[in-house]
Amino acid sequence: MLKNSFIAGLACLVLAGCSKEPEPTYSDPLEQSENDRQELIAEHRAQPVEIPGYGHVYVEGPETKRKNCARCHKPELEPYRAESLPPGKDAHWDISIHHAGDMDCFSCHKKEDPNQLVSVIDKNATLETSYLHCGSCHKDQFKSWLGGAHGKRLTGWNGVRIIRNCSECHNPHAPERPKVIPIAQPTVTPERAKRH
Amino acid sequence: MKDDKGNKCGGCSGCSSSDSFADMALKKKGSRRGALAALLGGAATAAASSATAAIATDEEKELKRIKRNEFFQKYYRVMDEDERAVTIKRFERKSKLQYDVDATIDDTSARPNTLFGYAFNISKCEGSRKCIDACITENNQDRTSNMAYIKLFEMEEGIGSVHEGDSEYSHETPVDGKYYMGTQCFHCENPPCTKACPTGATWKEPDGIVVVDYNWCIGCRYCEAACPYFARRFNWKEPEVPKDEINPYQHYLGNRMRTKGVMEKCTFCIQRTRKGLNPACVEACPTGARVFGNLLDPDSEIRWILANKKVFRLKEDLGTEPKFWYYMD
Repeated sequence: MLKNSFIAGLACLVLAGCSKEPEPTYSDPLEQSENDRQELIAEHRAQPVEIPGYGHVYVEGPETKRKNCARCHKPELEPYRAESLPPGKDAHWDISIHHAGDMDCFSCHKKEDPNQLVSVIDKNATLETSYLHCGSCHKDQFKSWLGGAHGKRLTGWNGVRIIRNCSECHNPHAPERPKVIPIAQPTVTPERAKRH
Repeated sequence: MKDDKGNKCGGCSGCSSSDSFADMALKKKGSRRGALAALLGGAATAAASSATAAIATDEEKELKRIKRNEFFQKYYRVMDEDERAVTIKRFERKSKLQYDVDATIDDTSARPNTLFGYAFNISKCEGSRKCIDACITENNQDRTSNMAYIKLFEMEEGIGSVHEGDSEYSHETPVDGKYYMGTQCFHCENPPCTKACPTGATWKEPDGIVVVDYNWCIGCRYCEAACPYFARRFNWKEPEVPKDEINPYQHYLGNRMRTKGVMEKCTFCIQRTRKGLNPACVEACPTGARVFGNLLDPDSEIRWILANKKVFRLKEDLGTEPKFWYYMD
């Protein structure tokens, strides 16, 4: 009886050793639940990027509601625009464009609806999906951004991937990042350290 | 001299009584470490009862007892679940007594299917030092000695050696014609520091993080000498952190409070990354020049970078296989 069970056990071992294990497939080590994913997506107002091959990327939405451009940019008001504003003092006086030489407002914004963007690839790029518009010229950066080498991921390394839109880091009207003053390492004086 | 352990020694002098006490402690079955602890414990209680009992408060006594037990605790890797729980409870109590901070110390172990890797974009870093600031705050580093795990070097374009970089720049950044390169512990796959350690106090975890058991470290600094990247830091004095700046979310092998005379280093923020968060430096980086991820996940950002970008590592010829890549656009 003992011998039989021993042989059976040995056979099991041999069989287990010979049988091919299935290829290991990658699974989320921390098993982010669907609920957690949805919470993160809602928290960042994220929208999925709908580009074939990049189905798992979400882009953070804007924090504030966009202004309604159509309130002023009405076609029927166009004839009076030149009269209402003296030259050089237009409504968007705070925007100066430092982007690729000779660009003006309507290089990117559609004249009839400034919320819509003029894009080489995607004719329907809006301010929310401005990455499509940026990516039509900056192809390398766009590819790196989708892949993960450019731009900032807002969630942890694990689970759903939510990244920043281009215009969150770069001012679209002057995309070069301004110079920064580096911070020094935090220090405490001896008196402050003694308090604890 | 009297001791409360029932020493039957016929009213003789103090010296013979302590001898017999030592005999008893050493003959007791158990480990050498246990015997030493019993011996020192007996001596300490004897000393305390004779001299300091009158002035020490209960809390001071408890702290002393905790420190004594800490001195004789076991190696983290051989502790079982219960021993770990007891040790963690002791550290949490110590944090309350010593710093008046309600710390939670976790000991989350490495997850399967995980090997951490890091990538640093030298074209993007603008040298703002926000990573260093976040690291020091997150990891409860000594504020008086300016200890930092991360160093940022301002480098002349075309020069690749950090020895020629300047880490003490103080002007607006980025400067034209310069680039910025950060170094920290690279968590080598073949780490020389762990081989140099005579006590085994530092080792590589299954998820690739090189950690230190601060209570097993004897402070010999061999690992510091063995590390070709100058990544290890030594506590020359008792670390001082203002009470309101102590990060209470701690990990046993990570940012719990260190003591004088032990080694410490970057742990990829083990207390954060084992819970799925990014390290503090990655989160603080304003440019996204720092990328952290799982090397075993084929869809991770770090794998994309390794597959599609020009990457290099420092001192690759040493065969240490650091899991920290530099890349450029």
